[in-house]
Amino acid sequence: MTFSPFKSWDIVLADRYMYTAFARDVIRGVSAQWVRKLYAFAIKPDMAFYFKVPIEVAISRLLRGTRGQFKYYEAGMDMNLSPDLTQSFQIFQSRILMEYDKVVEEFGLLTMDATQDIETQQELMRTLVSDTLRGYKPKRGTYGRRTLFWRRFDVHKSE
Amino acid sequence: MVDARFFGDGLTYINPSELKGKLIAIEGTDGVGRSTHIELLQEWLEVQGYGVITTGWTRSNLMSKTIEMAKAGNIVDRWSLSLLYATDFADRLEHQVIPALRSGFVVLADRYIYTAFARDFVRSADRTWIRDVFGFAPIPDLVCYLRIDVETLALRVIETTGMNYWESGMDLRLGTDLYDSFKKYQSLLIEEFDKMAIEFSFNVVDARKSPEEIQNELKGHILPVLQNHKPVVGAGWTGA
Repeated sequence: MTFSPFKSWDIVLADRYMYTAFARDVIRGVSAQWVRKLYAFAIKPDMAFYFKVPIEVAISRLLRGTRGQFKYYEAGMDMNLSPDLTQSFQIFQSRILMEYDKVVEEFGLLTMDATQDIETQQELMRTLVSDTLRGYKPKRGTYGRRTLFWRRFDVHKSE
Repeated sequence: MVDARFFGDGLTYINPSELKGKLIAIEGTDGVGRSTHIELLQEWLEVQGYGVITTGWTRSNLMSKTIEMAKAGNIVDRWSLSLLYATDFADRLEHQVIPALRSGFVVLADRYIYTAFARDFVRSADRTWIRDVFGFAPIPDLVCYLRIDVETLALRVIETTGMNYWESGMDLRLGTDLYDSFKKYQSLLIEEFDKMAIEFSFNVVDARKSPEEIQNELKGHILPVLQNHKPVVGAGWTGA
């Protein structure tokens, strides 16, 4: 459903893309070739960023943050790596980081040093995005922020 | 890694030699009597001492409600529809089919990947992607295809459940009303099934025959598959 704004010349900002699956699913025992074929229908992004942090930084940020703990699947608890949530997270996410390195190489993602402060990262991103958008004509419909661009409609059941 | 027992590549953690059971798929378009025959076959096999499970298209715990909701909205596109089916299939594969095959059960599948192939092909005219998607599917030991012509099928469906939006392929805008669309859509599906019948060596059973004749033909195809396959002792779960 990302198609509608895409076709109307909007800019789409995607928080995670198919590369997430290429890293995660492969670690969970799915064939690397298969998952790439599965996403063959995905539009290749004009730009793709990879925010890289060492595993220790990721752990301390998540534990210090508002959430204060890891989620079951992000810690890879389904994989029986360790009964300890933090240790499982460490093993699972370390494997994912290694897989991401391959994905970054294969698809030419722009690697961001995500240990830097937010302002520095934003500066760099804005410069890079501006370069990509050079010659692109901004278009707007309304100036309000839309939350919905398509609407589901109900059909009456025959029973 | 592509293994001979799998359709393509997919789940690298499954060792195919552990799948001791037999996988039998019954294919065919809507309204050919698949579920009736599967029910009869299950009883016939269980009486002989086989452990049997049946698994049905879109019947997974994970996806059945989601698929119903998506279809009720009428705006599912080709990719979404095929991926919903694939997710449902994957859930049933991991939670029903593979555990049962590991335990030496006979698995009767009411529709299999070929249904997804046909439905995706008539919407996309592309066979490659959907076949890649279902690469993780085990190749059945036997595929029986209940074949019917579209005229007989239309009559049957009108006399029983009636035609619905998706069985008529209304999303494809093939005809102005349910009836026209149903006939065109089902003809395209049958045409693709016929091609696959040759490509994948289905055992074709004429679904216009009487239920008794069809059942006997199905049994005739299944018996050789089970020749060297002894029933599970006590027909219980022996553990993997």
